[in-house]
Amino acid sequence: MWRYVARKLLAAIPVLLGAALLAFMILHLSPGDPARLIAGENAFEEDVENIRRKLGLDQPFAVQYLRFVASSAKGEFGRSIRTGRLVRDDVGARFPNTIELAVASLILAVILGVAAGIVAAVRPNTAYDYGATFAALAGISTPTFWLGLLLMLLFSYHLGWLPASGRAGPPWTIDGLRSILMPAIALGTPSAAIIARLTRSSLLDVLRQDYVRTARAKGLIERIVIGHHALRNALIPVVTVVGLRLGALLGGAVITEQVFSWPGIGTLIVTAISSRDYPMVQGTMMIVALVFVLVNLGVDLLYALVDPRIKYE
Amino acid sequence: MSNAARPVPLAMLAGSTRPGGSAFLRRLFRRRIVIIGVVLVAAFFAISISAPVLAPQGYDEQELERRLKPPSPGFLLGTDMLGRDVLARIIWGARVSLMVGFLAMFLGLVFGSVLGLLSGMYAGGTDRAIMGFMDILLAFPGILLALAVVAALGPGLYQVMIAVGINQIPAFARLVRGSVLSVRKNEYIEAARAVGASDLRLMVRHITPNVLAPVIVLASLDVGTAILASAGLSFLGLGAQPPIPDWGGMINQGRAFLRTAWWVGVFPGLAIMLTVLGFNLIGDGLRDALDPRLRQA
Amino acid sequence: MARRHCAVALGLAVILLLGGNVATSAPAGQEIVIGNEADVTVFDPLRIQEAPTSFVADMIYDPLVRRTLDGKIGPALAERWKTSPDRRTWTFSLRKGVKFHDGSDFDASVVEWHLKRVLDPKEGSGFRRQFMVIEKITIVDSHTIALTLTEPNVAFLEFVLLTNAGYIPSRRAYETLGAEFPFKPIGTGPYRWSQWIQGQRVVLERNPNYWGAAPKTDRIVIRPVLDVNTGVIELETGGLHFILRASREDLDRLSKDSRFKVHRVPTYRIRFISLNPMRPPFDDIKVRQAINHALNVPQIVNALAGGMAIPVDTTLPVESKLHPKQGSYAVYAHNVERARSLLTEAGWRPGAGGIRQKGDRTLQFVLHSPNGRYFADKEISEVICNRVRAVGMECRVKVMEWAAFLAEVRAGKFDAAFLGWNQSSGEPSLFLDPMAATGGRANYTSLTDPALDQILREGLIAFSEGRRMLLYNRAVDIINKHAWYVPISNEFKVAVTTSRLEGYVHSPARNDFTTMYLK
Repeated sequence: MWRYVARKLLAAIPVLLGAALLAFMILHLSPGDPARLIAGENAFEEDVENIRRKLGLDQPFAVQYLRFVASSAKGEFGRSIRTGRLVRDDVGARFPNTIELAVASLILAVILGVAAGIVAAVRPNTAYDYGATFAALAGISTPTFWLGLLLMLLFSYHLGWLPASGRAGPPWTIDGLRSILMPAIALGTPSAAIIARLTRSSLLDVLRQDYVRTARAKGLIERIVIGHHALRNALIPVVTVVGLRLGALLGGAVITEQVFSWPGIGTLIVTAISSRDYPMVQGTMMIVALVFVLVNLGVDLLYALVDPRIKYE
Repeated sequence: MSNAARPVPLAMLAGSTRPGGSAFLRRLFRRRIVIIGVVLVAAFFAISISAPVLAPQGYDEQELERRLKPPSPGFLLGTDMLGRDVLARIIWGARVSLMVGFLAMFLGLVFGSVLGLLSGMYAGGTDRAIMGFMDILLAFPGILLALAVVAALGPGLYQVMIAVGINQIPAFARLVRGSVLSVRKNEYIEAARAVGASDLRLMVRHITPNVLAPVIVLASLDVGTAILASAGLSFLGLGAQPPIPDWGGMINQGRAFLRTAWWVGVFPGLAIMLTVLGFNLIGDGLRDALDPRLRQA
Repeated sequence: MARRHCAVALGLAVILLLGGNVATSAPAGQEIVIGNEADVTVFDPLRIQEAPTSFVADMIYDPLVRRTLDGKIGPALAERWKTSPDRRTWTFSLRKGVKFHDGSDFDASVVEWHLKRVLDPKEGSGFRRQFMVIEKITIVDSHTIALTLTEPNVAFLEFVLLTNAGYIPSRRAYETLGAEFPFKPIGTGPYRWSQWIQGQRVVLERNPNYWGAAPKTDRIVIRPVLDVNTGVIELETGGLHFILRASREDLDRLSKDSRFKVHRVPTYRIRFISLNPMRPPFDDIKVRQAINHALNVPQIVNALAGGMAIPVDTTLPVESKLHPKQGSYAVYAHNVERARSLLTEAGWRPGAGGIRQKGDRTLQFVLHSPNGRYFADKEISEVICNRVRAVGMECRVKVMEWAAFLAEVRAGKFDAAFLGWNQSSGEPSLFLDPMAATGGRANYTSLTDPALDQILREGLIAFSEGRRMLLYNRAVDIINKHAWYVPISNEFKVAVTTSRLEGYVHSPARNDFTTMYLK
């Protein structure tokens, strides 16, 4: 197994370098001068020139990229043009918040999604099934930012139950929990819908298997059949999707973070792109890609754990 | 984009056999909610085609004296901050959304399928290079790649289409590659090879028909995904150039008025939701109808 | 009768005084939460460029001189200053006994060290060019410093010392903190740095040793709230006590709500459409005049930004002391007929679809607009493009991301562009010189007029206010006659607070958060 992990990690290196290179190329093709953006529209051109030199932006692209790679190898991922801090430090300060939000939204999504999926699968092709299917598809179809705005309007403005934005503290404090609830709902809704659909089809599949029929034939109560025998196997593909969703949500919470002013890497990278903070964008992309690869690897291993038929060589 | 979601691992569809015409349609429409999907999508198509007749006004008829008026018989969905009819803009906006959704999907479909076919046909270096590039694209969270692409190209409808379309490429490429690999193992391909069929001929004659079904499912789900993704970009202020009405941009402009003129931002959101729901209902139904394992369900 | 009035007035005064005195003893541990539009970045004064950061820096650092609430310039770390007869040497008498937050002493050597640091090309400060008017720094004694300029400059204080690089940081902090220096600001100001959780909050604490009047609030918390709309909800639900922006609809609503106080005053932020005389169709002065006549700017601004900005007819802030009087300079009143006849005179005749043509050319232009950089920028651009059709001009809005917008506009690659210019004071040379003098740093369209240049140069060395008034009146008149711009609006500085917040004075010239407290 460890050889499998090592091989996967080695294979990830070109992907990470490629991701950083792609980000680097796209950004350098974008019109806009980071030195000018730092100095402001009021600054004199000679000062902007000075800043450019100081930041090494006057160097050839290849030099800039190699410098970045060298810095990444040291684990620093370059230095932000805009703040002058190490990208590692800025991402380190914010990534935990994004992870927190992604995990919270997935917990909500799993609870809601699995429940809805079971309801639909136990009574296939009934009103329950259609209702759950319809709700799930509506969930996938709703723009998260729009949902976020409506939630904010309802729970903050009209009812005054939850704070409208920001992170008030860690989620095990009351204030922190209150502040994470709305963004987690907005972000988790599409995931809940996906998990519900998957649970349904996977459970239907399992329920037709022989061993379930046997269990039923033995006269076991339906609840035990489903709860004990079927669900465990049906949830194996769900685990995979939850893992994949986690990977996607870690970098994909950009708009939700923006709507709720959540201090994660989404808000960080939006600012970095608009201020043409090349190292910050490359570094964040690389770190996000790295975490994505690690999460996927973790999912693979977890999969082997739940399903003994799979072995990694 | 957090919405850029594909409900079920589509790989499981790869290699499913070609559906037989009418039996397939029967299976498809046996689920009533598919019909709702078809109705929704058809309705939005009809709306976008007949916009010049249907819309009570043009999409840029400003009248500052009547800005932010609530829904009334004169303006069924109210007016926006420039005094334009929200209903008219939603109707004209249907064209924009459908166009972006379809063109972005086509971009992903065409490039993804070609890359997937090549990758599946030619194992080795070509395969590794293409799939390596796909891995890089996948490692980028979709919205971030789109943001970067729009930063490079500037805001605008076509730019958004390209940005969103690029995001769709890897899914198609992987799906097609998987299908090709599983079809290639079949004996009739070996036989065709043995009698000297060229690669091109193989692809066109034997492989394409076999990968068609899962690609159609992915494509139908993808239109919805693309519409949502482009709405997200518009919401961040990177969408169509004014005065073109695009729903995500309308929500963006409307959020400043949520408490004073909710209709500006709420109705375009509903329009997005219903359109995407339509495509998802169809895609979901197609998948169930095509998946042999779920046929009895 | 008169005596009774006097008695009542006296009584009122006593009540007010008492009330004032009672209220000054704010409850212990008081905290005011302010919504900022983005997170803070770098606090090295040489590099503070973004408004959200300078907003916070202003509470931590002091400059030598400060703007007063009524827009004049008053003492800060310098108690007095005087200029030499040749107007080239400015001598500052520094406040004695002032200590930085880290306990180190403030004196002339710190000022000298700081100014030299700004001037050091290796430091790469974005303010260096402005500071280069300082030719020589002389320490007269431990608390007196003299600055000799390369040439006389009436606006020296505004142009140099009132920029962000004019804040004096602790030298000891610079020497001991190393790489942390930009992120742990140590100044002499009323508040000192306490905590920063990235993206979440900055906490400032009252400086117990502040040289000025003691701040009335113990703690100020600054939270980044990225969205205007969210900020308003936070204010209304108690998450924030103080916000700096709101949509005009929300402002109207909140100003009628007794739970909140809405403060607004025009500040030194000018918005305008720049018409590029280097490119058709605006290379023709008649076309530039025509578009000025075609637009009903007051109507557009009042409808879209009323309460957040006021319409203007010059590119000088309305609050500028030297803004010329109405009627003393050329203006273009809203007059569609006049606009049409000017276009006809210029040879543009109505063609197909009402759009004018000259030969095989169509009268069309692209209006570059940022999105959300200035108040209602994109919306105002949309309306402008819609309106000019009435006189037969075809217009397309091109909304751009700020970085790309700036790159394209600064290169002069535009027909017309929605632009703004902000300064920390209404000193006219800070506006007219960069925008309209030949080679000015905000003159992106190569505008040039030797007569205007001459007037602007004289404006910098004329020390009599009356003379300057006359010069800038003439300058404004000349600029308007060229019709290089369509002046749009003068933005307001806005603050909305809970009505529990007392003692805050809203001024266009400076933020003073030392007098406010929660009731």
